[in-house]
Amino acid sequence: MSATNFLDFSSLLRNAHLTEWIQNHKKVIGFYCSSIPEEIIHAAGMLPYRIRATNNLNYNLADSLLSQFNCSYVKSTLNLIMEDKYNFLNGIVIANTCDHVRRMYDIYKHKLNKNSQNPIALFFLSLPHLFDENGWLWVREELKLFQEQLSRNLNIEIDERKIQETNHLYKRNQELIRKIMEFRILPEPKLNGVDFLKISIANSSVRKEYANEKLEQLIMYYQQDEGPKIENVRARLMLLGSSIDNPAFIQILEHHGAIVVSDLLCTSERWGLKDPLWHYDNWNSEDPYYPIIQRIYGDCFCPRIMNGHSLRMNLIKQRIKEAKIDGIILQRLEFCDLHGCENMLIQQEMEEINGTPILSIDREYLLGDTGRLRTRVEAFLERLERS
Amino acid sequence: MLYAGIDIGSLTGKAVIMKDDDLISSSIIQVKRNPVLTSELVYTDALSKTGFTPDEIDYCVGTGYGRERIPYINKSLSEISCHGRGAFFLNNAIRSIIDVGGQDCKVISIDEYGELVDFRMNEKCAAGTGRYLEIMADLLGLALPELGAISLKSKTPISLSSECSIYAQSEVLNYISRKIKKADIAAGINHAMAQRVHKMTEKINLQPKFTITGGVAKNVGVVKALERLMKVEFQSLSIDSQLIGALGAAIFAKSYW
Repeated sequence: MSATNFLDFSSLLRNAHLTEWIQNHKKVIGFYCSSIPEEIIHAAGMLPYRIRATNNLNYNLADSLLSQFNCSYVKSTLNLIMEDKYNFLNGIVIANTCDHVRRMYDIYKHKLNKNSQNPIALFFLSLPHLFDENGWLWVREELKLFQEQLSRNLNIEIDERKIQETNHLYKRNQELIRKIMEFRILPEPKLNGVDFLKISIANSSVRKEYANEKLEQLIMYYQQDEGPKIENVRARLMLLGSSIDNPAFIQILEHHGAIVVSDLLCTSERWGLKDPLWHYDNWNSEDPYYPIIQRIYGDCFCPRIMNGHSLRMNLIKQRIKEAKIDGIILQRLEFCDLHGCENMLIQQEMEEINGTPILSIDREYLLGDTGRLRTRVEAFLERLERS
Repeated sequence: MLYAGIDIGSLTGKAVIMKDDDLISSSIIQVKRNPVLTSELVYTDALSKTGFTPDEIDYCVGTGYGRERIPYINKSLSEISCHGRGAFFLNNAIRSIIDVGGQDCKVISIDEYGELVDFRMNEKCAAGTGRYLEIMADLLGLALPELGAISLKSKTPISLSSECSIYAQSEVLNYISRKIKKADIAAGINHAMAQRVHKMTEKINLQPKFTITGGVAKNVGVVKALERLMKVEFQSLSIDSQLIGALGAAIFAKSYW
């Protein structure tokens, strides 16, 4: 299997690794958000699997349980769940990080599990919306509770040694992703935005031992002198906003010769952020939960952290410089509350003060009207070329 | 030198042929079953009026939603840039263009060189586009071109409460069943359309002078209502408002040659 075959895992819900994992009667726990402590699930000997809407075609089933004012991404995942495409899950972890995703807990509890012969384990994490000392302690407490619930519900032992081992594995995984991010921002990038998203999606669909092996192979592939490189880039774009798990969306952005060299999406680059966004100094770094809290809370780039806006802005500005960004595509899924406010602020600050041109797009998850999107992107590129 | 600009929109195909800086021929046709056929027919029609053949055209630029399907062009550009460039060519004092086409609406800001500064485009919705007017004209039993002129006769225009084309249809049907005058209903429809476009113009910093292009610019009712809402006067252009995108494409063709 070549290194780039790993990218194909993004186009399927059941990849080869997952299939083998299930065949060996091992458990899979689904989650939506980057702030879920995957490390604990992994340390418990299970496969943490980021739920996505890959290959969903409509909302026919999900429309019965979610309203027309709910996020179409979440609705798409529900549609797949109701089509039984996620029947490999043994449990699911939901957090209060997005109100639309949060509904999935109620739907599972009151509808899906009640009507199923094989109800799955449900876990809920309450996470803070502010960076401060109390928030740090709160997350610590939630992790402890989550670990206990996971052990109890699924009858699995999770000791501290296993968590520490997992932390090393996850740290290595982030380093490898970071290395691939460096290939993106070269003057002649080694990979485009579509391929980076595919790697990120694949990375969140397998155990990290397996992922690390594949990422190392990919790095070797990109490092080769005769390896791929993208020349004559028309414009270097940054992509910000709501979750994206569909490479076809980025393909439209890159169709006319532009390359998405940075994205800061929760499904993609946020995993490999270099510097901590916020840090609590008075904490014992020997605590096995420490790296997890830092990753899911201190490094949380999500607009749900209400006092983190200026930190996020600084990171965007830093990334604009590092990646030599020509323009920003600011997209929002309809009814995405978190990115609704944040995008407005980013547009004001980045375009009016920082002088970075922005194309703002409201979209639905399903890509129905690509012609209009192509026109806007092409006009934006023409604007960038003349500015 | 000979240049051509081809604009394949959702409802019409347009072609402009230029010799140096002069527009020597143009054509507007209803779209056919696919953009390739439309582009071939409209190009042939425009060329037939000149005596030139496609081989004699030095450079051709395509635009419009069907631009990537035009087989004979040298380059494609978005209709946003092309409408800006076309309007600027006809009147270099223009800085803001409102283009209302068959299935979309764009608000375009250009600089003193005719270069694109910023733009907004409507989301996926028929309201605020030519399609909306088509549906309403059909309900009223009017030909599309009649909708503008008849609305000017209105003394007491109706008010449509819904922006949605589908819900607005129900409202219009209700007015028709109550025997409200066609002129009053048409005025209400045009005003609702103008309101929708006006909202888009407020999302972007627009500078005078203004013009309106695209098929909807031919509806005097919408144009007058939009002028009132925006408190501006649109500059009239010397050629058919539907040709501005194709003209812009031809101007670009000259610059790329």
